[in-house]
Amino acid sequence: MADLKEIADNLIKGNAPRVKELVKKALDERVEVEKILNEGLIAGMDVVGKKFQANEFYVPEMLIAARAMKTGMEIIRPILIQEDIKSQGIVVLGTAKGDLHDIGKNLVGMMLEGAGFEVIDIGIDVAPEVFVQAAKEKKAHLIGVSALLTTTMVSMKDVVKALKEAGLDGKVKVMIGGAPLTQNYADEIEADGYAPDAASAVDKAKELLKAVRDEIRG
Amino acid sequence: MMNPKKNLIKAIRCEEPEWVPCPTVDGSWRVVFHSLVERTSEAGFDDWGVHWKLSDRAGGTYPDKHPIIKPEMVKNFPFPDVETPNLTKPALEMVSEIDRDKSLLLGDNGWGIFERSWLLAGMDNLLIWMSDEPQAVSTLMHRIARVKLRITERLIDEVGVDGIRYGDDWGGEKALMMGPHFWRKFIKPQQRLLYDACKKKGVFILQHSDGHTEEIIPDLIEMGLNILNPLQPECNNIEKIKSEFGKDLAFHGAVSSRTLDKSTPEKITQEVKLRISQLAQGGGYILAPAHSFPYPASNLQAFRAAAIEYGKIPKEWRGKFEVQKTDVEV
Ligand code: B1M
Repeated sequence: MADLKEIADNLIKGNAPRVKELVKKALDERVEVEKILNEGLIAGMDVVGKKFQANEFYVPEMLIAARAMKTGMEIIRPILIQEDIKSQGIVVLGTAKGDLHDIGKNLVGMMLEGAGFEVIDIGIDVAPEVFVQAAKEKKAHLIGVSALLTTTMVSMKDVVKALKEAGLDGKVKVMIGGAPLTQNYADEIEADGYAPDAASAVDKAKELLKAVRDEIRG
Repeated sequence: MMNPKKNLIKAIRCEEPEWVPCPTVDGSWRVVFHSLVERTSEAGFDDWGVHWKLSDRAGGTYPDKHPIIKPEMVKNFPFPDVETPNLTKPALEMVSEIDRDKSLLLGDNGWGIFERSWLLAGMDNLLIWMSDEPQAVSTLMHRIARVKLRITERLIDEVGVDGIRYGDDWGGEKALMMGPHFWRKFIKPQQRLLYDACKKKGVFILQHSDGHTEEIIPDLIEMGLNILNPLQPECNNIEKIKSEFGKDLAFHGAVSSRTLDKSTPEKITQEVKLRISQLAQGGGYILAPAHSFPYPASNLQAFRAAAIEYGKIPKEWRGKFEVQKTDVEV
């Protein structure tokens, strides 16, 4: 019998080949794909995020776990599409204009994907209007902006502004994060949410998109 | 008579100095550089084969092509010629303008072992290989350390520096990026080679690492480190560190670069006062911003005034020394 916990455990250890094998086995045994996703892969990534938050895992462990997640997703993605199983929401993610730091942003992206979101990573040094344009094109529910510099975090305000100007405020949420940021700053620039680390970013994204998600999922 | 250099040496030895040394004000140390191109100022390749791209928006160049794409390439990938006669030329030229009686001379070693490894292999590759290809990571770091070792030896032998500055950003905001386990496994043994070379020749060792570095301080002390920079105050428990390690290690920096960039002159004065009160007692503190950065001029002015007032820097030593490029990544 397929053991979903074993999938999660191997994902936590970053054992991609084993995750691949076990996901295939579960599918062969006709375990529901949504169950494999939620109780195997997503459950595993959730533990990974918590361990990272608690300084039990560091960036290397996150990277190999995310790789294992990806391997599992590659197998089940075609079936998810076929069965029209929707993601948790679409997120456009990038670093603020002028900012090149992307290690944290990448971890946030991995954790969001690992929690079932569709993540569109638009890279580093992204101008405010590019965030908004991408959100429009991809029909995103959330824009995520990361900044590590006191000089670049100020451009996050312009993302919020550009979104308003495009008439998308309220429809597309804005989440911000990165070392120098705080909830206070998010309030000040009227961003919808702030998260201090990659695991909290998942919780915050879920919270922000709850209403939207109920709608997507019907 | 006390002068900035003697006063600084007291502070480094964790003995009570006459004033809190602050190199940008009292000129107590000057930093000299070697000739290898570690980062280009225009688009192009550095001397290790890493490509840098110019971005005006991001205020300089950043690495965009990492040449070692497979672990098999690690062993024979060509490294820069560290025996070139020019290696110490820039340092020697600078030395001629420095009053060595009054200023301690630090030789900058360039990008660190971890940094040069990720510059060559890419951050994701390097961190993933720590699990998948540990031998390749060790080989890469050892090869880099051998180059760094020669730089250290030549700066000491040919320039006669009093100390070596090693820079390597290991810390993120809340934790070591690679974790203390991988730091100890891969970086520590190579870093030790670099510290041993300094100890053998009797010169001071300064280590720079951004971010959170708390849990490896005992390792660094055991390896013989003298000065840790910058002790980013947002990321480390300064009071705890001073009380636990203040007798064995001196600290340089600790004035928040976020406050310096984003705050008022009044807050900066308070910040300087706070760090002096936390760190300077009994020596062991060298005052500086936690990062050199294009701060607003009025804020830098406030920093200087507070350094003079609360650091009690005597009138005759209040010079104006340009902020040096002491962080290679700066
Ligand atoms: C959307 O929602 C969200 C939600 C949560 C989000 C989020 C988004 N984004 C992040 N999070 C959160 O989740 C992540 C995971 O839990 C976390 O992400 P983090 O990114 O915090 O954590 C990562 C996992 C690990 N952490 C990191 O990757 C950052 C580490 C430190 C050491 C750092 C690094 C590595 C680098 N740097 Co830079 N660098 C420093 C950093 C020191 C520090 N204290 O952080 C910092 C940020 N750097 C600084 C500086 C000054 C600079 N750096 C620069 C360059 C670089 C490197 C290229 C060398 C390298 C980046 C490599 C890369 N590919 O990203 C330059 C700027 C380049 C630019 N324009 O962006 C340069 C200006 C130096 C120069 N003169 O060239 C300082 C900023 C000071 C300030 N006042 O703002 C700095 C704090 C160091 C210091 N000593 O003060 C959370 O913040």
